Amino acid sequence: MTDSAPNPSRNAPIRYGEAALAVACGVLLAAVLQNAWGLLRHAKAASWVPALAAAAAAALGLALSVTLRRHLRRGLTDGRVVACAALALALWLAVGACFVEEGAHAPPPEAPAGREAPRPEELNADAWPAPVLRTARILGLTDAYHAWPAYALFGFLGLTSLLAALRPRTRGLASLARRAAHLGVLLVLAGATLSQLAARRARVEGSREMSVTWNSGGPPPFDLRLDRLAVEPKAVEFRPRGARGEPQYLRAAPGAGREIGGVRFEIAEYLPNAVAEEEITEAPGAARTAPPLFQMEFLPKEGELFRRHYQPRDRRPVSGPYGVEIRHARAASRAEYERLLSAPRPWPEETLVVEKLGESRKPELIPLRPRKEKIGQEISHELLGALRLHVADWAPSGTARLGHFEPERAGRASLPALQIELRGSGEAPFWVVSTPRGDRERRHTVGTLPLELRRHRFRYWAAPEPPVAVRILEGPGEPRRLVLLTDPPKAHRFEEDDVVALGHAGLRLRLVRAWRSAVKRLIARPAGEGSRGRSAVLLRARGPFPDREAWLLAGDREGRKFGPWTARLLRQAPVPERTVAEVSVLDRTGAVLASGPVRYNRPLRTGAWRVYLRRASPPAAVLSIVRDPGLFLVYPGLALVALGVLALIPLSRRARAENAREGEA
Amino acid sequence: MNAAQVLAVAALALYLSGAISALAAAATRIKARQALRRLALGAAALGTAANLAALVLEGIDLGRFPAATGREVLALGALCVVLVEVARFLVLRPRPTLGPSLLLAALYLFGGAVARGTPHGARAVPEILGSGWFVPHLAVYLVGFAYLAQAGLGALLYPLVRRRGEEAAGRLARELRARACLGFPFLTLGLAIGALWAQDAWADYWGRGPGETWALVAWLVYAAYLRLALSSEREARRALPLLVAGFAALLFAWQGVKLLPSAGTDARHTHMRGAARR
Repeated sequence: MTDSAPNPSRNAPIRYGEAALAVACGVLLAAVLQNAWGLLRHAKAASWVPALAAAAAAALGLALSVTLRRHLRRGLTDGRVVACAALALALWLAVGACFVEEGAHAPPPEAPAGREAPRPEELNADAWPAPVLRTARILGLTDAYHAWPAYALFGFLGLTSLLAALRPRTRGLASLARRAAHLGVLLVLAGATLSQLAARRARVEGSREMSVTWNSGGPPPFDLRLDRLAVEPKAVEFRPRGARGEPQYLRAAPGAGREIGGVRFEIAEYLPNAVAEEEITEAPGAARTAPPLFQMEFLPKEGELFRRHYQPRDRRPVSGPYGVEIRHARAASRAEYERLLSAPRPWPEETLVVEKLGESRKPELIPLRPRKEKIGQEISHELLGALRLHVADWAPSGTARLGHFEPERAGRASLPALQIELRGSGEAPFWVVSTPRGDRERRHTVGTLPLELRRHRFRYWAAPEPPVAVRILEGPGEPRRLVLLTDPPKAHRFEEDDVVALGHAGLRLRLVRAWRSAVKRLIARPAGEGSRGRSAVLLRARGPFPDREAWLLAGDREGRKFGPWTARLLRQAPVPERTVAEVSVLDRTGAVLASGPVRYNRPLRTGAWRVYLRRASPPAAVLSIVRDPGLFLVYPGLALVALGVLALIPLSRRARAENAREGEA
Repeated sequence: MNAAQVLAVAALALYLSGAISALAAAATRIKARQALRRLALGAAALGTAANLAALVLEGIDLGRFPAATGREVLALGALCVVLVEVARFLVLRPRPTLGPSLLLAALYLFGGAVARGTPHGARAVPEILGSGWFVPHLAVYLVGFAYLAQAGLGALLYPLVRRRGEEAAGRLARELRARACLGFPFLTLGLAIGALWAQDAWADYWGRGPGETWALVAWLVYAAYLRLALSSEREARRALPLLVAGFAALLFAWQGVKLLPSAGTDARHTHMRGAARR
């Protein structure tokens, strides 16, 4: 924008800078005018002083700058005068901001909860030595915005900017943008002036009935009644299901409750430090559509026993190298299962994934291209140690059952397969089978080494200790049983309380309980001493649906459904507070004209009036009630200023370049 | 380290490498210059994508617009700086000067990463910031701050550049003025949007708190600078200390006002820090 040569004129006007300067200065100038207007109406002679001083100083400053510029052509340009005034004002306000504002205009200081607010004079006396404070008070720095230097400087800058804004400019798009900005400034000034002259505002404070007294004359048309003032921590958040709407909140405290949208919610129990547990019950009814579930107990040779719940398709690490996999045929029927298995599938390019359990390093990927010409290919890797994997054979189809493969034999299904041979350990070759769908997980164990086919990849786990893989089969046509994938794989029909020793791994496995069709429910229990848990609430709901209660744990992303609401417990830190004041607007007869909640940033609007929440410390609230007819001018005015100023950035550069070209011509 | 954090680190590395490439391009021979510029542009594009993706992922994770904590604000600021630099390049077609912007974006991200007391994953926005005005107020301030920071830091280098000759000094002064000219409208808009927000929230355009006052102080200093700098080139050079003073005032308005005895009375601009401490 300013890359081209600058205007050599000493009195070149600031473009958008002046326009924007006029916004702020104009608003404050309007405040000066309003002050004068209020003084006229109330005839308080003593308060004429700052207004007169401001007007006089502004006029004097302007006259001086114009006159001196004429007589002192060298040095004193209007640019320097304006810049000096701006810097003087900046310095004045910067120093003034160091003091807590005192005087009639000072806003009431915030009081800490349960304590009385200290007075500004006391705060200043605590912070500054007495001589400094005394000097600051004499100079007017403790009320910097309302002291005569500020009035004078604001007035001077405002008038200068106005004159600059009204100065005729060049033609073209840049001029249009400039005019838009100027029009915006004028609108803002008009709106601010109108606001200051005609706005009616009152600040009311109280805990119940509030009688409104306006800052200017005239009887108040109504009173306010504070129906309820509450500080609601954002704890349990309720969001409407399937509809847009504001979330509602319920404090997470024992016994807390409220009615939301026709549903009564109560906190039945609150645990600040809890851990989650699954409670399992048999599914009710004859249909039993829920999946089966097994509770397995692992009894290591050393260390404590541990229990885990497994359902088909669950895959959880158990401890160290131990793993449990549950295979589940998701087909609806045996025919569907057969169809899926026999579906044709091209032979993929497989990848051998070599990974050491318990290490964070990335797995090593070794591409396998098991074409016929690749048969005999050896694969070695540092993680494999002394072992070598050898691609022994491959078969386009065959029969797979429990990890064994028989090529070209009629069976239940025909599958492509890859034979891998382990050399160096004396183990027999075994087959890795690629399933038609490719999304099931299979693990094969040879000796102490599990090899897994997972999403078309072979995974080799070089485990630090002898691992054991266990698979629980539950598919159509197969009885429920555990298959221990040791060497060779063994199937074992578990009865409850059966214990199976897994030999070399030193691990015993016990089936504690099996549910044919289980329903899991999340419950929370207090966490032990010193352990870090999460907060949890037991939420109970009564509404136009069967009574329901469920535990919510802090931080869970998925909410729980309660009729038309989805509830979740938000994290405890940081917990913002939501202050809400429910207010009724009453006419002179006591009839309710309007009522509703008022929150920070969300005033209650009723007709031309707005009720703002300024401060709240239960049980009292400070509210502002305002009717501002100037707002409808200020908003479009500022929008015009913004548009004009932003458009000027590229346009002014182009206009300057055109001017330069014209000048050269 | 989640995906958003990994992307943020990637964006930081890309911005930094882009800045180094761009700055090297400015100081190298003609042959290598084009290659370095292309490298800087590529790093800037990838960094912007990573920065944007990190913000989107974080927003999805938090369930809100990620601009409440200091770290989030700085990440958003880094993105704004680079996007505005790109927009500036597309609209104004100036001489390519990507280096300072990328360097500042990298500094923003680095500052966010090492910022103390910024709660990571703070899911809820402090109540007082829960307004539609918050994001535009912040965004335009961040963009304005970025350009004015470049101008202020560049002004510090002016005495060194002046030793290389009057021509280089004049070029630097013009470049700094261009950056101040770009940052100043955004600063003004930030003030105006803040005033509208205050009106919408408290029925007052101006609260006269130290935060607001120091923002106005910085604005006045920059207004004074521009008033001088746009009148003549000689004035533009003489007024360069004002760029440093304005940047110092901006920094003070951002982080320094909490040190003032009057900071306790400015509930609006100290609320966020209080919430973060809780």
